Amino acid sequence: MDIPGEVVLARRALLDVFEALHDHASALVLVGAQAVYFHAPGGLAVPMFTTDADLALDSDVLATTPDIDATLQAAGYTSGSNPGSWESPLGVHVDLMTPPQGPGRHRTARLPGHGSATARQTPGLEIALADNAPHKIASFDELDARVIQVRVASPAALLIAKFAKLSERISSGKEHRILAKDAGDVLRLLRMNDASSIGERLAELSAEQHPHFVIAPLLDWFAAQVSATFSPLMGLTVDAALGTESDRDLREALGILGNNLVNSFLAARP
Amino acid sequence: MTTQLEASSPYTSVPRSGMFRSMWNTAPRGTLELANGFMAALHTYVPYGVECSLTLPHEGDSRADAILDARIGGENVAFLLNTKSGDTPDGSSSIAPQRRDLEVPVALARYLSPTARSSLTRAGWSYWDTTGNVRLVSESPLIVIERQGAQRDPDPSQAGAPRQLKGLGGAATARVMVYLLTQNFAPSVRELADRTKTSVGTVSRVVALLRNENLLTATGSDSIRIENKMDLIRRWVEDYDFFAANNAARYRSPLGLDGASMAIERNLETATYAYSGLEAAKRWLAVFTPSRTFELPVTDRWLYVTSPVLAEQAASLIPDRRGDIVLATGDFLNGGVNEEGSNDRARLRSVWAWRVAADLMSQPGRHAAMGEQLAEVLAAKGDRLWTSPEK
Repeated sequence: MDIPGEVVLARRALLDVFEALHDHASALVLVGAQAVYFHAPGGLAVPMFTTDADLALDSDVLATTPDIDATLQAAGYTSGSNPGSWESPLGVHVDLMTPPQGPGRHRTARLPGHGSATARQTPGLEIALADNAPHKIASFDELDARVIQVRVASPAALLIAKFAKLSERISSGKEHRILAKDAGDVLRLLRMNDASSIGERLAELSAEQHPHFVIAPLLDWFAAQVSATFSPLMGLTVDAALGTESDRDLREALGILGNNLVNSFLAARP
Repeated sequence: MTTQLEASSPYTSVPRSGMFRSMWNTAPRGTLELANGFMAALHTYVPYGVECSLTLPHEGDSRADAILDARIGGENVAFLLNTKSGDTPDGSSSIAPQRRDLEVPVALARYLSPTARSSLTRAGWSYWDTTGNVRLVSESPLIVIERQGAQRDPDPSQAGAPRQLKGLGGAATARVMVYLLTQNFAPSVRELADRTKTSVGTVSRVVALLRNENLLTATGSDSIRIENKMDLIRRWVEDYDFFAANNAARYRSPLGLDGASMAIERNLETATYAYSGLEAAKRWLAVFTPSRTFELPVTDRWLYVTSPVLAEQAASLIPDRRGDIVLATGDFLNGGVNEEGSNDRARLRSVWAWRVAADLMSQPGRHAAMGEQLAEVLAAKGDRLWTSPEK
């Protein structure tokens, strides 16, 4: 499979930051596009594309030393204008995030022992910290033999994160910030993993204490989107495919698979 | 004995009584009719006139069934006519008879397929058939006449033996053809029938058709050996159609191509599915020509399955005439050791490579081009592909 150069660089950036933060490896969870492509290397005819590396920090597991902020700066990383945004020495963007830490819309994450702008709070990541598994992640560069073992968020967790992002931006009218790519990633994940099994897993997770309040409202939103042929999510999914498939097939696919997920969730929910 | 051609008739008038009839009776059946037809045609090829006379060869001269002495443009030439009842001259796959100056060996038949004509040309023959296919080439005297007639037999029922195979389009025939192309030894008809789970009758008819069309080499025994694999597969796909022969149907899946493939691979037993088509061809080409890369995008996936119903369920398939997922019935996938099935040599659960090539060549456009490319590589490599140890 031909991998775009940007994706090769983004994977390298992931390996680099993981090495830099090796003292905190057990607290890092891979999320974002690289996690999506790990679980769904196909699913759309449009090639995978990402230019950054996204990591969630599990504050329950994160040690207070060494200071992440200081460690990254010492390794040549520069902090961006937004909390949690870092630029690697090679100029690749790295985002460090945590789930929301309470009510309110604080952006910076409170991480004892670490700089105030180390990470930002991001809705939807709750499930990523609860539902992940260790996997080997290798470089895409044949000259780079590095392989890391990192916790990777599950397809169920990644979908909830996508639902959170898409629902917030669609409902707030921030169309200019909506990326069709996120909708395309939803379809990728549904196609390359068993949608019914994801629904069942979300039902299990919703029964656990702290993340349940996240899942049900997001699935209600998703159910409404996949039940309407011309919903905003349907339109974004068509846009994401860049004409590689017919509108009809894409809407049908999202409708069938999305409803499979929702119906399985409803059937399995305690 | 010769008879001078009469100006008013293009045909040699050969008395049919007495000793002349008995002489012609020793020639293969149909020789006279074919020879007369050839002479008539010769007059149309040579606008400035030709004189002909037809004779039988001298006793002991086995180079021809009949000899047509002609005078063309002031030059004398003897056409050594070789005929047989049926489509092709007997033994014409062998090198053309040794000829002397001013002699041109010509194979005559009711019909010569493109493959037979190609084979005859390579063996040094000129040829003519009643549909207008003709190639007369000689250096001394200089003769170059080449025209094209029918590309398919206009009357297969005349081809010869009773219950002759009408074509090579069936699924059972496909098993025989794949096995013949893949193996590197020469089985008998019975052995071929056993290995392909095909009746001896069917195998016999396939072999007879192939022999009639000079696609098999005479071995002097009941063993079978292919003359030229590319000729064989090209002849096969004149009749064979992947979709028709294997009850193939198109589908779409909400899972998309990749997702549907994964779902089938995940949910079906390994021995119950195998890929063909572009994906399999690319993988096989990568095995045999690892230094080359093939950029042809795979726009559809073809799978043989033992149970289309199970595959439909596994991948949520929806029948769609324009779908990009094709399921074909693959009863041969249940084959035992030494029988056709599938293997992982191409790093993909695939049918045998020659079947992949034929499936693609039977379709138009770039599918055919990819199939042709694969077939050429297979023919050149001559690899022994059957019976994977892991089967």
